[in-house]
Amino acid sequence: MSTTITHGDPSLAAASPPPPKRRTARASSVLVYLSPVAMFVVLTLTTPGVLSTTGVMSLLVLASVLGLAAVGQTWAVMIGGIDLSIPATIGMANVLVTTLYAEGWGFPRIVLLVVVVSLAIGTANGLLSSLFGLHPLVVTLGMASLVTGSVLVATDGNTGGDVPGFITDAVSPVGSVWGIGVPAAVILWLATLAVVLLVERRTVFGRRLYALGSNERAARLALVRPVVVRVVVYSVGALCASAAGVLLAGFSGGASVSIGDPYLFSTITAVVVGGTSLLGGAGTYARTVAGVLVTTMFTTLLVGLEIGPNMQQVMLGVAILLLITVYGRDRHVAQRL
Amino acid sequence: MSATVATPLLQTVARKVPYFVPALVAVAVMLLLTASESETFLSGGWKLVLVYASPLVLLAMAQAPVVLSGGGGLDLSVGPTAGLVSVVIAAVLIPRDLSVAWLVIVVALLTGAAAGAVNATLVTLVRIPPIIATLATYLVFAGLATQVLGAPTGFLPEWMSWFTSVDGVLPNVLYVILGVGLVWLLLTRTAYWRNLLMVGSNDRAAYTAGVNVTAVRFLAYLLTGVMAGVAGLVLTAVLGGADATVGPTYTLQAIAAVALGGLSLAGGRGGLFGAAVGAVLLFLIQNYLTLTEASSFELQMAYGVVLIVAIVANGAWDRKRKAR
Repeated sequence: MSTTITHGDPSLAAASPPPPKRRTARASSVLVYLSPVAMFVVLTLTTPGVLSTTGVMSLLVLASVLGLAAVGQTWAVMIGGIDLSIPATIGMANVLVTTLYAEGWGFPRIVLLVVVVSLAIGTANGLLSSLFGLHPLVVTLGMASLVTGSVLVATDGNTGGDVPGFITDAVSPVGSVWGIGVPAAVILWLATLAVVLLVERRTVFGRRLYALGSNERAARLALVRPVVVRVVVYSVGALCASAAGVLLAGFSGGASVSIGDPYLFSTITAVVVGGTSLLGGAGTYARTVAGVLVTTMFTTLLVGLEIGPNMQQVMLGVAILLLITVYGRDRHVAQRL
Repeated sequence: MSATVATPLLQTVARKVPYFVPALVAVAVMLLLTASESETFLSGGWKLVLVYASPLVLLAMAQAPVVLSGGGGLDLSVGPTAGLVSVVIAAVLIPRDLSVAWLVIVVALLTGAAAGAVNATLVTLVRIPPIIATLATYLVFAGLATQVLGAPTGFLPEWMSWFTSVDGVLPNVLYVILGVGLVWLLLTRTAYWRNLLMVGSNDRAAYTAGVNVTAVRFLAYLLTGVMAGVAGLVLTAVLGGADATVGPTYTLQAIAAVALGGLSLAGGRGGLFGAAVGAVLLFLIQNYLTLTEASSFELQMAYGVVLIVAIVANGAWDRKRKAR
């Protein structure tokens, strides 16, 4: 399945000859999907402990949290936007679950509230970034501050609480669902993956997503309503980010509004490493999944090599540059005429 | 809809006045609010406010050239670059007794320039999209800075307190900001300025017209790096030491400031003055919220609301400007 949508100004694209010697999309996507495999081989060679059911499962649990958080980032990027409110949404869900559970709320009620709040965040993001062509970067940045501040005001800064036992089980590498030895977090991620890919590839909404990302004016003429697409995109993103936030409550360390902070750049990194163009109109969540797996394994590898968090950060930066140099380079302006 | 209701006068005004005027008006309003809230503000308190605002002002100015250069131009690494500069000063130069003023200043500018050159190379020659390239250098610079300087230090040479002094008629840091502005003003008298705006609004047209798009953008990233270097120097002085974790926190604020200042994030419209005004506005908003003695939680909430309202108002004004 390849998306044959070109970006840029269609009037110019139609008039110009096909770009010379353009690297085929297929070649680069093979590289993207091979990189997790290659990374896994490297990981098992350097850190033999990974090659066990528990080892693989703990990798997948980590990947599933990042993977859920990155759904929104992927779609936002595909429509030519960006979502900086994902960390705040993660923190919101994380704090709501733990504090309300401690106050004796039933889990379904908590989930309902988190869903409503997520939809509100997503809708606000979508509406505001459709208004006057405002840049989603600033809109979602403001939204992030608003969400985090509201959560702190509502809880008076007491963000600690209790964690339902089944959430802890869901992220436990030795956990299982229906007797299958796979943690619930991973199942949730796989289910989300299936739905997201189905929507991207087999639904009208998926088509509109790519159309809006490629060329908003053309999309409007094709009767795509950008506001609607944006509201859905940011709402789905917020919902998935909230799911990640709920899962994060299962890890030890207590709840916090800032628990999502690392996910600001790590979600963008996963999207970028997956090779989804930040110009919008191309890419797919499947690529992000490859990016999620690569970055998760890369971090595990560096931890295994006893490299400290600072140098991990440096090496992640270098790795991004190397990968994008291989498959994500822009064309020269002369080739875009 | 709103365009038809709008009085023609407002529209004419919107089209005639420079891009930074709405931000300037907002700054004036914030100044009045601040002055009414704080008695000491007019009698010298404003100098201190400006000193604390100066790192953000300089970083917003630093952000301007790359944003103007278009093509998704953005430098996420300005904050970490400033942080790296302050770490180089505090953890490399000072322990070796290399704290003479001229040397520290030269090293700060060169460090900034080097960071800018790395970004420039990645974006214009390797042709990695700006957000990705500068996100990667953000991680690298921030990681290196924390690696070199794990814990904050507070020992600075005597002369660096010049930056934070408010004894004169004007706070000294204002001279630094004006100095950067002056250099930029000279630059706008050259063909480079025209080329930068042209590349920013339509790089293909600029290329066809014979503008060396790569060189123009390369220089933009280099300028951004140098200005981030200046910001790093001032940041060190304002903090009274170096803390590797502070610099990175400025990046997103600097971008928000640029947008508030009326620059188009798509490139091609704006200038350094607007960026500086946007940064002052952003800082005054934060400062005012602090003055009202709201809790830090309410402050964060209000900040988000104000940022959104400001950016929406800016967008509405811009729409009016473009309306026919």
